[in-house]
Amino acid sequence: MGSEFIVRVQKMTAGLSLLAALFVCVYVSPQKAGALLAGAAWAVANIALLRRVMAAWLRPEGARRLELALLLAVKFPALYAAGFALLAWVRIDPVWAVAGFTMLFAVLLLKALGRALVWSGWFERIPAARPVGDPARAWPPSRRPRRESRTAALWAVVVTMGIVAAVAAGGGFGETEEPAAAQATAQHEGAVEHGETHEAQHELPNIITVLYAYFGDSPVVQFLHHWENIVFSLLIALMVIVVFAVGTRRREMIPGRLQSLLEMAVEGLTGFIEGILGPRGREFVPFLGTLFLYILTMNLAGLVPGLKSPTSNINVTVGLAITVFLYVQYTGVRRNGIGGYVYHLMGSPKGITWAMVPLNIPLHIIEELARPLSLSLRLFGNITGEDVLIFIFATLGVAAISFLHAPVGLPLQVPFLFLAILTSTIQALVFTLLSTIYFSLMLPHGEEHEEHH
Amino acid sequence: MDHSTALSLALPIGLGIAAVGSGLGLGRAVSAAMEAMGRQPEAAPRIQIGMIIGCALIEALTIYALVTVFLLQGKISA
Repeated sequence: MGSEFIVRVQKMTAGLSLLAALFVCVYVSPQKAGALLAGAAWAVANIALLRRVMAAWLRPEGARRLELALLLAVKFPALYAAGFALLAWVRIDPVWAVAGFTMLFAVLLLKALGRALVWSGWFERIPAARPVGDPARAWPPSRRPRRESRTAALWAVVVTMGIVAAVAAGGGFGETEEPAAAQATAQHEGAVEHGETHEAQHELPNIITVLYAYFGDSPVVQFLHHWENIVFSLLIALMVIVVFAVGTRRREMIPGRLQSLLEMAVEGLTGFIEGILGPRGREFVPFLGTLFLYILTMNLAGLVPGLKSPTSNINVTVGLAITVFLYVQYTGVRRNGIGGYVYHLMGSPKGITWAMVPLNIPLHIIEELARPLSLSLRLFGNITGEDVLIFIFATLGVAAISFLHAPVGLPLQVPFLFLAILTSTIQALVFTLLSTIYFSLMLPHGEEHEEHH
Repeated sequence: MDHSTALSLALPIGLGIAAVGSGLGLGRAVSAAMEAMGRQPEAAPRIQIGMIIGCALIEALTIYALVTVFLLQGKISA
């Protein structure tokens, strides 16, 4: 997979976007079809230039300086200037332009899906898909199944189109009024829309918000918008499940790339959790490890344009914290017995400390109840804070060039995206660590008894 | 002074005070971690992990103040 893969992706994007533009031209309007085509052409030109940069820079004979300089100093700025001109002067419809840009990613996603489906071995009738007697060729799969991967991709396209059609059919097409002041950033990172004024907006919009702004009458879209966080958390859970299912489909002795990556993650988490709980912590590794990966993916989803972190909603974090709380209490009762559990709640009195029991019980109960509170608030506050920060800076970037009255903006939120990656990871780690510590406090102690708060 | 004015005054001041406490606590934590790493560079990764976790816990208290701001900011109606 390399340069020629990118060329194939370019061709497929071009073909698919031509087809899509035809549909849009007939059923919506020629201007929006033109915007779609322009966005897709821009994306294809972008990735073609990137491929040229890669080819010029990473040649084994040493980089071609002149071509590289030409590309970086002339062609890329020209590309971005052309994009800016398209949005600001020619005034193509920004939302459809972004949709055209997203076609490239849709193609990449479909190709990845096809590859994953084939590699997982669901199509058993392909003899050469997984050479069983040849462990050295576990990855990449042989060239023969390429036709079948196209079939899988085609099915995915059909299903997606079916869903979009159902959504559109429910609400009507082109009937909704233009959302006021629709703007897009210069790098097509996201569309800041001020269509809805139900609540003060404090996050960049996502797919469901955009759908709601355009097809707000459809009951399907209204349902999706009402249950926005649930939809996203289920989607993210599905993603994590699919990645792990595909990676552990056939556990080879010499693992392929995905399996290696997953093994690294699992080993790291096991070491981390057993470092705190000891060897008896092995049975909690699935729960705590999954908790970490799930929270991490949910946090990072907020940085992907078009998605939203469900953890920026208090309900999701409270749900996670309550789950941990209930599991910890259940473990305490099961491991120590009811008597042992109440004894632990009294503060494990020995001798003279029996006198402090009336003080200890309410204190311990409050401490136990304060734990899920602090867990949920910490995660919620951090993730909402970073979402608000990114939104404010993105809006600032749009406001900074607003004198042009163009749907572009400076990407001022980019440094905060890096900060957000850091805090997302740290918060997932802290949540998991604290849950592990709560387990270790509840289980029968070995030697020392540490007071954590 | 109606409630909107009171909230508009109190919320930023409260958050600022929380931030001061957080800054002091984090400064102490990170400086202790730096010192420990300087004394024993081979233990640096473990010290770093402990520092990150400690910083997240200290930061949590300021985040509680931020959450209070989120809760009350909708009530500033003027």
